[in-house]
Amino acid sequence: MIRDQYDVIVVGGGPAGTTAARSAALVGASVLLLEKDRDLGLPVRCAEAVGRKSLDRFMEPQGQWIAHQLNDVRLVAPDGTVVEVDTDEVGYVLNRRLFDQELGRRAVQAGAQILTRAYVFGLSMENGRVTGVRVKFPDRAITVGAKVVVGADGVESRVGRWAGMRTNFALKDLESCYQVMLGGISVHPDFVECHFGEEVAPGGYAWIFPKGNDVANVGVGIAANRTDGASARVFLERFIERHFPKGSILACVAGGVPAARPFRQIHGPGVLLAGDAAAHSNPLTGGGIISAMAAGELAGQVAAECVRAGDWSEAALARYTARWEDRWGSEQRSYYRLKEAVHRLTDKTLNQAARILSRLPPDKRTMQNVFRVTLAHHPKLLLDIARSFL
Amino acid sequence: MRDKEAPKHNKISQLRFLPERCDFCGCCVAVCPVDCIELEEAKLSIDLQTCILCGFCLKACPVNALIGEAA
Repeated sequence: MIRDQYDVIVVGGGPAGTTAARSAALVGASVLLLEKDRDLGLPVRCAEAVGRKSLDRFMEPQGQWIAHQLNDVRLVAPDGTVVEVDTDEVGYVLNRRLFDQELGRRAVQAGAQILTRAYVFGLSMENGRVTGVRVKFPDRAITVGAKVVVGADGVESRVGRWAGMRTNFALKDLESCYQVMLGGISVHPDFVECHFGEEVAPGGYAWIFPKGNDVANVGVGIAANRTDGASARVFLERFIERHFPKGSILACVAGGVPAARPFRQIHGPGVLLAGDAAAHSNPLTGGGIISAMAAGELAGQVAAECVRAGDWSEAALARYTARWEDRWGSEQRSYYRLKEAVHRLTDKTLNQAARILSRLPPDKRTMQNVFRVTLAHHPKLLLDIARSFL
Repeated sequence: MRDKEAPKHNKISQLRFLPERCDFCGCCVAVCPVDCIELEEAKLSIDLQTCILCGFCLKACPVNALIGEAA
């Protein structure tokens, strides 16, 4: 069933990996995707929210993998002041288990082969260039050859490191997260809520993403360099005790979300990195499903095109970094600058800004104004933001 | 460039892993500057020969599954 050699091997079966596998197969490459866990889509290490417009580019929003639709965002300041933000963007909360399986199905439909319980524990290299992966199945370990390896192996990625790239995250650029799916609660089904403050989530935020009237993903992400007081799990316990003391935990999960500046290079000698492995999640919001799919799609295309052209040298693969940089580089950098700016704001500043914003008429409460008013209290930040757009 | 905050001196005197607390999320692997942590489906192993006791993994862990004494 498994061959000795493939054009492209994808490590990791999340949205980046399955999308890369599909796009490489569509260009005509032979593709093998290896997932270390038993199932695609499990465990769900994700808050599961995506914007509708962005998702529409990839698939029709129909099917059981859409759990719920959301219309607005509520930002909650440390003192409890609520700002309802007009985003004119509808969002979805997904059922990631079903969503990921659907992406897997599409990859296979395009011609890719997928195996689960296939743990990649190293690369085979020749003359400093990757020639395949070393993979462990429950009963044996083998080496499988590949011209290009796509590392879509998540926040804990090691594919790049094995190929000599430095892809580990600085503590301040990793959000340490804990989330539960809470049942038996009462939430407004239309609103995403994000709570800020030193007591709630230092260097991050707490979220409530409804999946209906009485179920929601509730989680906390804190910057990994600011966990001295307590872990993400403890912060979440406090948050739930305060807001949903009667809630029941239907599922719980820990996770890390990259909130980093873009890597200078997301290609190596025979290697392309996509998704969390390449810090493609939005550093400000932590959202990473769509950006992972977009990067995966591009990685798969570039890998397959290089194979077809007969040149998959590091220099040829460099067009992946170039094309990614061209399309998303400056956007990611400006989100990173915003994140740094927002995390420097004191609780007092956040409270003041929230009070001013909540008095604006609803149609003036746009994300843009949120930043404008917040930053007006902190003129130095305006410079930072301005620079991020240059 | 990304590991410039890697410490030159030990920050903790020993590293202990409590598997019963672990959720196998990979935060520790993500911040390890010397790549000494291996994560399989539901199995975490630490190569203590390579570990430099920097303590980053303790800080990143969302569930306190890694603990250590300050050096």
